[in-house]
Amino acid sequence: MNRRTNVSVGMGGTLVVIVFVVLCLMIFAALSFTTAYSDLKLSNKAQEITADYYYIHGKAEEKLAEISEVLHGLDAVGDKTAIFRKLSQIDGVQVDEENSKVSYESTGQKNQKISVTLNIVYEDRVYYEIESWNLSNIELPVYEDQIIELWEGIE
Amino acid sequence: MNKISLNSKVSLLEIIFSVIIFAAAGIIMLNCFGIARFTQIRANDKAAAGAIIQSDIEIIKSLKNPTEMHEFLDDSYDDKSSDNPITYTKYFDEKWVQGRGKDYTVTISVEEENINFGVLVSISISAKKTKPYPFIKKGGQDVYLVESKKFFPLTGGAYE
Repeated sequence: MNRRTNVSVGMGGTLVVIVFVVLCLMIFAALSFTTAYSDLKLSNKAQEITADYYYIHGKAEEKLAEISEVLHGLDAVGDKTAIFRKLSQIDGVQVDEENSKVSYESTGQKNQKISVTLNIVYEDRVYYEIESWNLSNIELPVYEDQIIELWEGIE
Repeated sequence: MNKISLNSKVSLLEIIFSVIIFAAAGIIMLNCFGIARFTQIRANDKAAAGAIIQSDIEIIKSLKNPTEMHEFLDDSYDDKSSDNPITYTKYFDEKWVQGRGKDYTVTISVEEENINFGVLVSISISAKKTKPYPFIKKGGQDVYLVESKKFFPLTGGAYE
């Protein structure tokens, strides 16, 4: 016996399917854009930090050149105090005359700084040797102490 | 035997509406997919350019004098302009392989300042895309830029 089943798509069926497909594709498009944009933001942030690092590195090198310029032509047998007085006149430079050391910092915009310590050497002339050249954070995050009362057991 | 007959009652108006909606949404979606694709390419370019630029600048900072620096730049870069500042350029293809194409350029300009007891070199390295990114208007063709300085002392300055 032949039976005939009628399946009717009905009015508006096509529109519903189209809207559903379009919505799905819109969601995929939005998701792919969000992922790509997040990657770009991360790359931009990495670039900013890298550029800032090389900027402060450059500033530290510039300061080194200033110190070198002051030391140039100084007589090693001359007055040590006068040498350190001259060095202390450079902006941002701290001197430790007792240990013949000079230190300075170069700070950036992205919570990073370079701390430099130089040894001042007296031989036939005065020159510097780099003792330390450290990159560190300006401010470290502060974590609040969390005091948890522990059960001490039964006495 | 069962026979299924599809009795579609789709009017011409509905088909036209569907096509219009799909076309309008399609334009927006294609733009969105296009922007996403080239935003991702831009992000990847930044990572690749950053690695190349950082590598070069670290090599320069490890060298002992400006002569060594120029030797390194002469060897590793394709073009050189002898103006002041001296500019070196190298070219990369779309996969960031050097010497195969000119899709990206990495340019380094070095300016030397002779001071007593040494040479202070101002370094500026930038990476650019030769053609603008399609679909993206913001940001232009610049990919990466780093500026720094390096002091080459004539004597002393050794890291102890």
